[in-house]
Amino acid sequence: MRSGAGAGVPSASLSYAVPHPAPDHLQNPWAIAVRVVTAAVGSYFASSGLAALGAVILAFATGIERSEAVMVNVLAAFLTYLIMAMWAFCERRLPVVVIAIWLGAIATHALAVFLVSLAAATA
Amino acid sequence: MTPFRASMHWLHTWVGIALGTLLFAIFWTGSLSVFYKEIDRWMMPMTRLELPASVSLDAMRPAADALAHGTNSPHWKVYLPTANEPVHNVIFQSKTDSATLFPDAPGNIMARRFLDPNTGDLLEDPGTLGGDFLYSFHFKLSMRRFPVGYYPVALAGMAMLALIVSGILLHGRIIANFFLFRRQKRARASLDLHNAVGILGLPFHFLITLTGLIFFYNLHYPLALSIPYGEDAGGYNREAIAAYARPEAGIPAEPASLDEMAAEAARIWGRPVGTVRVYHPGDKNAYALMMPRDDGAVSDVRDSLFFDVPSGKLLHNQVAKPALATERFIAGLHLIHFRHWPVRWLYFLLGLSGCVLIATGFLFWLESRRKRHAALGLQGVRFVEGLTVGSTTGVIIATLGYLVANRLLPSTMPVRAAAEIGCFYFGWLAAYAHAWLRPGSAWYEQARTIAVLAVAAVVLNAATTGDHLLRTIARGDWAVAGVDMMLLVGAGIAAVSARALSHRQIAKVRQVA
Repeated sequence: MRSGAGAGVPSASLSYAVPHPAPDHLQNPWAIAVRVVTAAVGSYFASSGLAALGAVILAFATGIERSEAVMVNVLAAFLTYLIMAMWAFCERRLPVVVIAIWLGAIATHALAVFLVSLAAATA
Repeated sequence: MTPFRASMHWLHTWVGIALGTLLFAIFWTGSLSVFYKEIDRWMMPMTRLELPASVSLDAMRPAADALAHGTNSPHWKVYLPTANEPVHNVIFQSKTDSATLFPDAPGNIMARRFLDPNTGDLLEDPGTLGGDFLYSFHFKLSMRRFPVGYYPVALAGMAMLALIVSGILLHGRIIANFFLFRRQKRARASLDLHNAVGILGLPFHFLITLTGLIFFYNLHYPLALSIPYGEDAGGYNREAIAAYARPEAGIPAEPASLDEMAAEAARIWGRPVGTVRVYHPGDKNAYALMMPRDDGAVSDVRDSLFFDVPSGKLLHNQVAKPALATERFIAGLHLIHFRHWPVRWLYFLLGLSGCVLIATGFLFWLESRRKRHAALGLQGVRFVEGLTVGSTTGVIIATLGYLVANRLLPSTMPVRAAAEIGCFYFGWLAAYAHAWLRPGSAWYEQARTIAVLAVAAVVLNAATTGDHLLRTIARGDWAVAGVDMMLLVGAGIAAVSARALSHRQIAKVRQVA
């Protein structure tokens, strides 16, 4: 993957310079792999969990039908996925990216499931 | 360049190289899908019929029931005849059809047969998936038995959104760059064209991708749909979409008139019925689901009326609530079932502009690295050049090979539809092999191949069906005439391109010598 980005290639004469050098945080192939998986998979689950949680809260707070609350939040989920996935490549501190996205993915799903079971238990 | 812009640049470059092939194929087949019914008429001569003034569901019901009973399908669905599909299009579950290579494989496919719009009788099996193959390639890579093809397409869709956003953000001065066209320098010319097409097509490219993703929201966000319903896993579907269902009784019963139920449905909606699905045909518990015709508006309305088939009584009326109705409008923006032909052509051309965007992106990657890779002995440019040729002209060759095979394969051949699809993939693989084996001349040789195949398709259509352009135009059969004319226009563009590319090739060889 690095051949085009130019890292590690002995610098040639100026006319053969890399068109646009990769930024420092996108040089190490292992770090890039972690970012790609976090962006593609982690952001997906984070957006899914956020939509589930948003639907539960919206239905509870406004009393609109659950299917409608789900639909509104799922429409937004495609854009939250996009924003999180792109942020995963902009933020320079890799641990921040990994922790925020994966923790968000787990926490939102767990909280949504918890709230639904709480509502079922009190009903 | 700031670190942020450098990150955007890096993302744009590598996502484009990694998923450009898939994206080009999706945009190409998607653009053709605007006219997939017209391509059906071209590939299925037995369906080039005239639309009768009125059609009868009761006349076609026996043939549809027989199709469903023949394959143990629990239901059948009919798309009623329309101007660009003047036949009953009946869908039912089956283990097999003429595109099935492995009839004993687990799972069912959705088989399709056509019925005569006048009599309701079964028409000869067209032995082809027609435009439907290209259409289903567009959203699920034509995977028929195993529904996994949706996911690579969705990944490419999200990648396209990321490409569009990063492509804007990586620019320092987007307005200035938009008005730049440096024709003399090849790398710059491809970049400037990429930028111009990218900006002009931006709203379309972003919306068509987002609406395509949203259309399959229930596949893509299953957890968000099920978690709010707790233990009741199927709750979302029942509440929002399929609000009525009942099992088979196992007792046969005579059906009432479907035409009368359709008339009642049309009275309730104030618009005609477009599709009818009959569950458990011939059973006491048979019921019909009717949806309105969607060619008069943007929104892909799926309001549903459920009728008890033995009595003809209305069982349930399902109307989409506001958020779902919004989603149906968004889906309608993508599906364009409406009949407004100038807008349909606009979709077609803007879809092709997406192909130009992806191809010029590849070209800029190549041209900006060619010298450097040659000097350093890197293989990247050679590999990506083959990839680019196979992904762009290659998929066009595959499509034309599919059309030509449709006119050449004998109608009596078993698994004929599968053989046509084989020609599509064989043509595509051959184009990749050719591109990697003959890197210098692949572009113009493939452009020439496109021109030859497109003309051959037009000639073969005239020779095998007798429907040459003069006759189809005189008859007012714009579906078949339109496909023929687009093939000729495409052949012309390919021939001019091939000529220009070969001149450039000769100039380059002279330079070296």
